[in-house]
Amino acid sequence: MNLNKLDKRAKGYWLSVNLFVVLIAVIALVIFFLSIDKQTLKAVLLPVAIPSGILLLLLIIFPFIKYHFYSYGFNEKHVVINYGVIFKHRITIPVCQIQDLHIVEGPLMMLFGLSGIIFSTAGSNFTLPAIEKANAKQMVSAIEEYLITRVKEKSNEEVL
Amino acid sequence: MKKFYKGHVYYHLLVDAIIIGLIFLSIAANAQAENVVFKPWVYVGLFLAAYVIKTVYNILYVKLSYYELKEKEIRCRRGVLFRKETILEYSKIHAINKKQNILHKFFQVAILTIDSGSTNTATTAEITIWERVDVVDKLKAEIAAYQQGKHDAFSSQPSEAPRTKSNKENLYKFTSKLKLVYSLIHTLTALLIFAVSVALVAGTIALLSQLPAFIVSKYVSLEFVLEILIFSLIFALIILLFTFFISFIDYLFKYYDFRLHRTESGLEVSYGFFSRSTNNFELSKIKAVIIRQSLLQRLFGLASINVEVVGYVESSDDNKSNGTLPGALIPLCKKSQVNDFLAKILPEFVPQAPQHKAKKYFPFVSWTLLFTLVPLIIASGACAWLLFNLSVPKEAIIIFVVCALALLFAITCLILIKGGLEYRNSGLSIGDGAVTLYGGGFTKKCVVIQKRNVISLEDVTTPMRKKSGIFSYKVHIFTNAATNVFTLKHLDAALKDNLTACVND
Repeated sequence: MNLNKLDKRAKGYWLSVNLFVVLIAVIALVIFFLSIDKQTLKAVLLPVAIPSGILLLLLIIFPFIKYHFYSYGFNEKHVVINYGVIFKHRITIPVCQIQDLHIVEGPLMMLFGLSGIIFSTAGSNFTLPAIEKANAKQMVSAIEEYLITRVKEKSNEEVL
Repeated sequence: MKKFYKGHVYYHLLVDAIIIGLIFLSIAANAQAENVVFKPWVYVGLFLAAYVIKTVYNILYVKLSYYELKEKEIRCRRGVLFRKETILEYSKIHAINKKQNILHKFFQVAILTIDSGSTNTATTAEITIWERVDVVDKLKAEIAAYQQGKHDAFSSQPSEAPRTKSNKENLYKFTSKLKLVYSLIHTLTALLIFAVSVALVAGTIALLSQLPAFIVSKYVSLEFVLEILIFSLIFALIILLFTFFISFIDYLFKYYDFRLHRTESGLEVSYGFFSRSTNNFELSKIKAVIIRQSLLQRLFGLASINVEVVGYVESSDDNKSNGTLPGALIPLCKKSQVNDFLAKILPEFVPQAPQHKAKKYFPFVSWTLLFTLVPLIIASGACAWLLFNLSVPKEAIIIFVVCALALLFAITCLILIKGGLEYRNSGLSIGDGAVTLYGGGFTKKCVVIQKRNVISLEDVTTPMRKKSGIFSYKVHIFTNAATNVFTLKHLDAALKDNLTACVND
């Protein structure tokens, strides 16, 4: 099975989401530092600023690393999703076990021209985030066709 | 179309009067305590208004709700403001539950809930019918006949009251002695947690007593700490006795007259005194069997068996799972009896001995230690730095550091012990029709899943573990409950293909 990378715009999308979080965190930190006296500020600055700085840096770098490790693929029988930076996950979803397919788009996703796909099974929901809109529709149509064929095959197997 | 039974309106007349009355009494008591006193007629007026609204709602609910058993499906229409019509095919039904509490018995009514495996309705049953108790019993039998395609034979039979199953047919007896042991184990678990906490506190005090005398006398008076310790001990013992008593009474009534019967198509589990629940499900709808052994159960050679069936969970009121335990099959038995019970009741689910075990101990503790200890060390270091810069006396900083070190030591020990138990318990066995997964730390779990119910597989590894050929596997199974994933930790990479072959594709 050939594995595909997510759309490159996914990095920009994740970065925007994280930058939004960073912005709120920075505003909160500035308000906190302004509200305390100089002596406390001197004491607090390092223990608060160093972990916060590391965390903020990670939030900015993380989308690029996450993108690097994300890949997906599908054929007539399975959908495979690989993800994870330290803990590498590989999910194998049999096509015949998919109950619903959902295409999701949030406002930021729309801005970047991206869509996500949710594969709903009887056990869990699996998400494939941030692929190009047209690609998502194409993938869903293809999986729908595979699903119909596979269900027919399965019912024939049961009859035999 | 048949209407819901009006007896439920009378039942709610009584229950609502009690509930609304209690709410208003508590509001009145609270208002009096805060010196905000209204005239009595205000409370009476508000109580009557709320009571009338609720009663009108109940009358409308019963008047506007219908159900019908058709050839292939059951239809139910209910609701007052938001009307809902549910159509459920008999073949899709997973569990049929009858619920009757002590007040329901007084009014001769019961509630029938019918559940399919739909993920959209994971917290409530698809169909709820309020009926007379004899009608509920008849409905249960009729739906079962429809499910088996034997409805014609069923309708030609003269209508008769359902036969009460004899004690001989009961496959498991949950005696008062077993309930006592069950409660004791739960109480002992609380005692164990308490003992560990006491050991931690005592350890910290011992550490503190090693500090220079002037620090102890200045900041921590040992006599004062001892007084607190003795007081806590007495208080905890009273709480433990109370817990044991309540727990015993709870299990006595919750599992009152526990009955497990074989029916024509499956199993029937019924129990409860104040609220009796009768659960019916087909054998083919059982997704997995879970054998659980807590640390104390293992010490006494005991085990509990639960079944994973959509719509059957261990909770008193809700009939669906929200992270609650799967339904009980055998609440407590000897470990040696587990296979005999399962061979008698569910032979397809008899667990196999583990064929593959976890490869190494280190992966069980490595990341947990890192993710727990590093943030704790950073936070403690930051706090110590803060105390130092805020000109707090050095002795107080030393006390803080000693306490932080003791905490770190205790957490490390806990992680190492849990990791050791997980390493020992982890295992896998793949049979012809079923997969047996072993895992768990303090609570050992053995899960037997039919291969047809394995929905998908997820493997997890890290670059280092990949090099050593170690993978963890998450097996997703068919259920709409929250417990739909079972994890196998740190097994051989070569097992991936064997497990993938188990997925129903």
